Amino acid sequence: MKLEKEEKIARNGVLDHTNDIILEVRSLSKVFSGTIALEDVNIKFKRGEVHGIVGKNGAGKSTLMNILSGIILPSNGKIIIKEKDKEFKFLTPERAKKEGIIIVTQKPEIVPEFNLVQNLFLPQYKETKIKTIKWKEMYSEAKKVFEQAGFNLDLTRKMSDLTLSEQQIFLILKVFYVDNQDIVILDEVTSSFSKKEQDFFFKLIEEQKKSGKSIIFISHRIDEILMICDRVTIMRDGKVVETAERSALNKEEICSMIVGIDNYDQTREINKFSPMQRRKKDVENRQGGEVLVIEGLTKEGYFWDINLTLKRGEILGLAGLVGSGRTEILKAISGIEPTEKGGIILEGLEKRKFINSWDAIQSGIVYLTENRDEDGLINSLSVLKNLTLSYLVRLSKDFVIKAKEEKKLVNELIDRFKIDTISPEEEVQNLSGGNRQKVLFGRVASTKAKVFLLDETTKGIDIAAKVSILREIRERLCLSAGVMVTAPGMDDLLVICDRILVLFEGRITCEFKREEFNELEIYKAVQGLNVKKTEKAR
Amino acid sequence: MSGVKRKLQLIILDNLIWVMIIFLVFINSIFVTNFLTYRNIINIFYHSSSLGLLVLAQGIVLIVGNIDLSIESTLAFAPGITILLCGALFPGISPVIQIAITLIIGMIIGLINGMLIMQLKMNPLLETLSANIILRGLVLFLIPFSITKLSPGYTFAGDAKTFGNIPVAVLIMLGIFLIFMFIMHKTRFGRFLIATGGNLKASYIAGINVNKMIIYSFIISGVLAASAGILTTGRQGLVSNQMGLNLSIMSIAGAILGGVSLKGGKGTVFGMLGGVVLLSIFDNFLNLLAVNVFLIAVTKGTLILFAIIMDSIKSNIRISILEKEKLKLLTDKMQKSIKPGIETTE
Repeated sequence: MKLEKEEKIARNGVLDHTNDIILEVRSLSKVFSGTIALEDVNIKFKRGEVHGIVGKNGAGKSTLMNILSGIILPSNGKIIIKEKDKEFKFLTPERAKKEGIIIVTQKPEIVPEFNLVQNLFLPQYKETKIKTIKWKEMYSEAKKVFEQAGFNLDLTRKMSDLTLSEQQIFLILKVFYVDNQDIVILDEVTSSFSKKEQDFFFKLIEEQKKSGKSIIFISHRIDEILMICDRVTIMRDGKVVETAERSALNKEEICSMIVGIDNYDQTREINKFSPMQRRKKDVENRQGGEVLVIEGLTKEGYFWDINLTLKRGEILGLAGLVGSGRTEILKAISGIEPTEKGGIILEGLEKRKFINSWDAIQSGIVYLTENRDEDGLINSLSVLKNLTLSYLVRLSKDFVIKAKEEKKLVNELIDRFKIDTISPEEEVQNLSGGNRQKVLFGRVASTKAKVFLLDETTKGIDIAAKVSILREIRERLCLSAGVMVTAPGMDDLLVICDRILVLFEGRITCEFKREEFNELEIYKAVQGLNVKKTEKAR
Repeated sequence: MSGVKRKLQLIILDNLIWVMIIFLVFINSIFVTNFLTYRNIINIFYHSSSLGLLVLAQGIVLIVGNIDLSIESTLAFAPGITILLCGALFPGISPVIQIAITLIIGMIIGLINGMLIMQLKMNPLLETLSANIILRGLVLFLIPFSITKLSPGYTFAGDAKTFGNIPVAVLIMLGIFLIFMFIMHKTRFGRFLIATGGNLKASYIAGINVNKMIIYSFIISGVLAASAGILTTGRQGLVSNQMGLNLSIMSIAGAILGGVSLKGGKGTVFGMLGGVVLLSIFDNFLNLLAVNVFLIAVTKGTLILFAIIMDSIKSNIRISILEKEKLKLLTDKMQKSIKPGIETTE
C-alpha cells in the first residue's frame, strides 16, 4: 500500500487527499464551429490553494475559466462541486456564483460611467426596507475596504478614469472583500501591472490564501506563477499536459511543456534557415534603401515621439507589453487610426500622413490586424473571397473580376501556406484558428506591398502554422519590402527579426541589433527595467 | 460519408427559397386550374415587376449592412415630381429625358440618404424611416389624388407588350436583375459591397473605401426604387399618391426569403429573384382562391414573420450542423485514445 502511494507521488508529484478537493472538471470538452477549444480536460482544484494555469494563447485557459464561471457552456463533460457533492453539465453565471465561483476576467467587467462605489457593490446594492439605496453606508464601507487593502483611490472618480491595471486591482479587491466567494478565478489580470502593483497583488494573494480561499490564477508571466502558486496546470492545444506541485517544476520545464517538444525541433528548423548568429554581410546584402522613415510620431495618451527607419529587406520587431503602444503605432502608420503629429515618409516621397486605410494601402503600406476574427476576416465569405480581397483592392483594378486569375492566385496561396480547407469555396469561419490566420496572412502577403505591418501574426495558432508563417516572413515577404512585426511573446521576434525596438509606456526605450539579442535583457527592457540603452533607434 | 450528408443539408439550407417555390408550384398546379399556363406565369412576373425591383434595392442595401425604408415613397415621389415639374415647366419634353430625370431624382434621394447615414453616422433604420415619412408627405401634398396625363415613356415601360405577348416591364425587370447578378458576383465593386456588409471594420482595414460603398448602395436603391415607380406608373396608367404604400416591408420579406441576411454580407441576386417569385405566387394563389382581402394581409404578415425567423435560425442550424460534425470527430478520437492498462485516477 505504502509503495503504491509513493509511486503515485513520484509520478504525479501530488498526494491525492480526496477530501481536500473543492472543485473538479471531468472530461470537459468544448467545440466551436471551427475549432476544438478544449479536449477531455481533467483537473482537480484543492481548497486553500493557489492553482496556476499556464499555456500559450489558444491553449484553452480562458475557455476553461469561462466554462467554470458559467459564461459559456461546455460541449461535453462535467463540473463537480466536491463539497456539496453536486455535479453539473453546465453552469450559468448566477449558478456559478451560488456555488461559490467568481471570476475576474481579462477585460474588466465594469460600468465605466459609474463611480467606484457604484461599481464596487454591483449588483447587490445595500437597500433599506423601502428599497432605497444606502449610499452613505456603502461609501464608508468602501472606504474601509480600500484602507484595509492599502490601496488609495478617490472613491468619487468615475470608473473609466482609472487605468487598466487600477481597474483590475479594483475588481480583485471587490472579489475578495465584497463578493466573498470561496473559489476565485483570476484570468490574466496582471498583464499590465507595474512592479508596484505586482507587489501589492502578491501580498494580497498571500493574505487571502491564509483565510482559506481557493484561487485559480492564469498568467503569461511564469515568474508570477512560480512566485505565488502551490500547484500548476500546464495546458496546450486544448488539453492538459500536466498538473504538478510548484516545487516539482522549474521555469525551463514549464516553458518546454507550454511550447511542446516538437516546437523545440521546429525552432531549430527555423534557426537553420536563419541562425541566431548571422554574418553582418548577409544582413547588408539583403537590405536595400530606406523604405519607411517615421519622425516624431505622437498620439496623446498612446505613444510619444516615435522615430524609426525601416530598410527594404529588413524585419524590425516591436517588443513591448500589452498597452505599450505597439498596436497603436502600427495602426497610425497604416492610416487605420491616424494621428496628427509626426511624419510618415514612404520611400522617399515627400512628408505625408495617411488619413485612412485605403490611402495607405494604395501607397503600399499593408497592415495585418491582431484580431483576425473581429476585424480581419469576413466570416460570411468564403476562403477564396477572403484571400483575394486586398489583392483586388490594390493590384487587380479591373471592373470585372478575372475568375481564372483569381482561382489561380487562390490555389497558389493555399498551396504556399498549406491552408487546410475542403475547398476554396468553404466559409472561412469553418476553418481552425491556425488556418484562419493563414488565410489572413495569405491575403496580406499577396498584396506586393512596400511595407508590411504585421500585428501579432502568430497569436493563437498551432506550431505548424506558426513555423510556416514565420518562415514565409523571413524568406519571402522581406525580399522586396520592409517588415515590422509585433508578437504575443518574444520568441518569434528573436527568431526572425534583424532588429528589435523595445517600447515601454508609449516610448521607444532601446534597440537591440541581431548580434545583441538576449532574451533576458530584452525581456527586462520590455518590463521597463533595462533602460540603459537609450540611444534613439535609427 | 457524413460529409456528403452535411453538404446536402447545407445546400438545401442555403437555397431554401427554391425548395419552397417548387413546393408552392406543386400545390398550385393541383389546386388551381390554369396555374401552369403561359399566360398566368407571365402574369405573375408582370405584376411583380415593381416589387421585384424593390426587393433588389432592399436586398443590396441589406447586403451592405444597412436598411432602406424609404424606397416605397421614392417609388411614388420620383415619377410624381418629374411629371409635375415637366408638366409645368417643360411641356413636350422628350419621354426619354423624363425617364432619365425620374431616375436622377431617385439617385439624389439615395445620395442624401447615404450621406446622412455615412457622414453623420445616423442609424439607417431611423434615417430612412424619416426620409420615408417626409417623401410620402411631399407626395401627398403635391399630388392631389392622381395624375393621369402621362408621358408615353412611362406607358411604354409599364404597359406595352412585345414579342410573344411578353410585357416590356417583365423584360426590364429581368434585364435589371441580370445586370445586377453580374455586378454583385462578378465585379470588384460587387465584391466590395458584400465585404463591407460582412464586416465593416475588416473591410476598412483591408483597404476598401467603405464610405463610398455605403453611399453607392443607397444610390442604387434610390435609382431602383425610381425605376419601380416608372413601371408601376405605366402599369396603372397614372401616378397615385398611394403608390408603393407598405411595399418597403414586403421588399424586406422578399429579400430575406431569398437568402439575404439581416446581418449583412450574405445574399445573392438570384435568391432575391426567388423571393419575388415566391411572394408573387403566394399572392396569385390567394387571389385565385378568392381569399378575403384582409386574410391575405394576415397570411402575408405571417410569411414575413416566417422569413425573419428563418434568417436567424438558418445561421444557428448551420452552426449546429458543423459543431455536431466536429463533436463527433472529437468523441471518435477520444474513444480511440483510451488505451488499456492505464488507470484513470478516480
